Amino acid sequence: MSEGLLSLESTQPSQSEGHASSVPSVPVIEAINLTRHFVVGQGLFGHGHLVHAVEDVSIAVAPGETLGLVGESGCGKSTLGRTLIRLIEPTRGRICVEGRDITHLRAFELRPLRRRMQIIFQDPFSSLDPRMTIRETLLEPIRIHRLHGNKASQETAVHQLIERVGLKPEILGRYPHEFSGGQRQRIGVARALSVQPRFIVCDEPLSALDVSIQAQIINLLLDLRDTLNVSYLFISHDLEVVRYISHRIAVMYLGRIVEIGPAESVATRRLHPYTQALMGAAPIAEPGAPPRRRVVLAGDVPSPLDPPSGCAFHPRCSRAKLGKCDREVPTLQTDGDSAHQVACFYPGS
Amino acid sequence: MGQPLIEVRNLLTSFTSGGKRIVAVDGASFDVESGQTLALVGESGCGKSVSALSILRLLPSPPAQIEGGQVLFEDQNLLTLSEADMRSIRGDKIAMIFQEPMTSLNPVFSIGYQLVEAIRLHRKMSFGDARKRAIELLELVQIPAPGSRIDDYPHQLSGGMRQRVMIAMALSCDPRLLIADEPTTALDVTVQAQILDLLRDLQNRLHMGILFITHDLGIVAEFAQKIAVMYAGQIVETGTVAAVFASPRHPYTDGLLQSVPARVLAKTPGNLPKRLPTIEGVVPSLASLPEGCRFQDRCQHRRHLGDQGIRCAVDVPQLETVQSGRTVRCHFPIEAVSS
Repeated sequence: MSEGLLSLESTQPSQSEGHASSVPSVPVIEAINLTRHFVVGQGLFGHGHLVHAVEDVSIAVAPGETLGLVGESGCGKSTLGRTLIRLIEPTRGRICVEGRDITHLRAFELRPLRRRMQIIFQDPFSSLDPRMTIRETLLEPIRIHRLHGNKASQETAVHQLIERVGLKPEILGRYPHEFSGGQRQRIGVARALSVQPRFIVCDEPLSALDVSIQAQIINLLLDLRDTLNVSYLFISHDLEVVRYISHRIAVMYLGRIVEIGPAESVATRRLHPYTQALMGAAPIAEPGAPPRRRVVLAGDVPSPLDPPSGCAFHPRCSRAKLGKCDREVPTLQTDGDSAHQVACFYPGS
Repeated sequence: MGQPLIEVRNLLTSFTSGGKRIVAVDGASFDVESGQTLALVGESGCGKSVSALSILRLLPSPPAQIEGGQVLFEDQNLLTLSEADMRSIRGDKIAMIFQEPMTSLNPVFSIGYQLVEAIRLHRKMSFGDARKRAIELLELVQIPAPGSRIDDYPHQLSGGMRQRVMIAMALSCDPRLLIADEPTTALDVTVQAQILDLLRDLQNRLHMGILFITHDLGIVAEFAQKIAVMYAGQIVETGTVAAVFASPRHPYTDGLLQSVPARVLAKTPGNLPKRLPTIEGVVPSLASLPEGCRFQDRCQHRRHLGDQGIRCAVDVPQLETVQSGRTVRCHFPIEAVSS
């Protein structure tokens, strides 16, 4: 199954052709059968329950590529993002960074590789240290990784970083509380960039921002992708934003990827019934637009403590056939063109 | 056009902060009709929630003060009513639902207890009857097995279920007007779709007017008939949703609509522009507003005006009627697109 995911020729990012070569490139980051379970409710009595946050996920992100990750809250998308860069340790499976297996590296071995992979958090109000000036915030990772020798070149680097994200160097002496949400998110981006990463996990970086500011941050991320050829795992619940920014989209449900493929193909063909429900649920900003292909799902996401048997989506699925969907777990199967895969026994629109 | 259910006229609400007076809502006027939805749209801090809370007089004073204007509801000005009279209107004829269903329910009481409390506050009803009514309400908002769910505590319910309970509570006394302050922002899109369907269905059945506060233009397009756009404490554009979306006349509305990825995708499918159109800069602080138009520094259109643009920095634009049913606060409104 992972061979299919490794073939990235057809998913070469279109907006960075200057960097794309005919040789299939080594993924910046790759997860192979990645699984993460959490134990909850383990107390003095009882053994607790197992939460299947991420279950057998295999994905790869090419250099300069943006992989969008969508799904409802609690589906495991943030856990997947954090497990990929080993902020959370995987239960099973492997992670490779630029072809090197990092699954079992120890902290001191991993540290030099931390430079290669960074994260931008959802809430710019809690992800910056309120007692550090912006200069200190940006300098800390540079010092830890000993990136620029003397103080003067460190200062130049910090100036360049802050200008790169569209802020003025005058603000370097200020503290986070003096900035608006959009400005803080720019600072968060600058901090992630300070160690020249190849891969950035963007964990809902827009959801705390206003509409007019969201568009500014989207454009900033697109600019950085084009100039630095950095790759993103872009986690969001806003499907239109994901469709806009991503080369490929992965749809997650209860810990598993249920559909993955080129962004336009996933957004328009919607082979998995869950993708149809998710994409059809977002209201369209066009009054009198033709009625959407809406499938209003009944109920909420089932608890990951006790996921349904077989296909985890079957209790909410209109297509589910008893005897099949509630017994067997569907795996990702390639549909037609080799880049689009879906995990459903009865896919189609 | 029927008689409006509620008329807000020149509402002026200020806050005192560090000895300084900050005007959060500056002369807002809007109407809501029975059975209709008005969407109040704007970015955080633009005064949309403060407007709603002013209608119900729910703002703590000090620091907040409603300095002027009128809120006309059933031939009364709500701003001059006694606190006791106001209390009999809140939760009865005018109800409100909030953004955070997690924090607006009391965690130590069952949802049934809280529903019964809300009903008995406004209706003379025995405990048993109120409980029956509470079960009916839970059924109305499509909570499965309401007879047993009524004894659940808030933590036993999901976010979507809690918002349904909040809606049930708001509907407990058949309100004429429902104020919904970003009721779906904390919810997933699939649950949001369920809640919006539910609200639409209830509105049709109960013929309530809804004042819907949101920043999501998708929800506005699908749910509301009329829209009022706020910017930095002022209403800058009003009209029917269809007309405003088809041909925005204020540069801010225009910028907002253009920066929505979904609209960009719809207009240019398969051939995406490399960058989204944006509104440059940030919203000015209410504590240090520019002279003249509050949007002048971010206005794309002003840049093409040349010397005429000086007027934007000097004169304060007023909300003026530009065509029937449309008002705009701009000296140089965008030309109407004929459809």
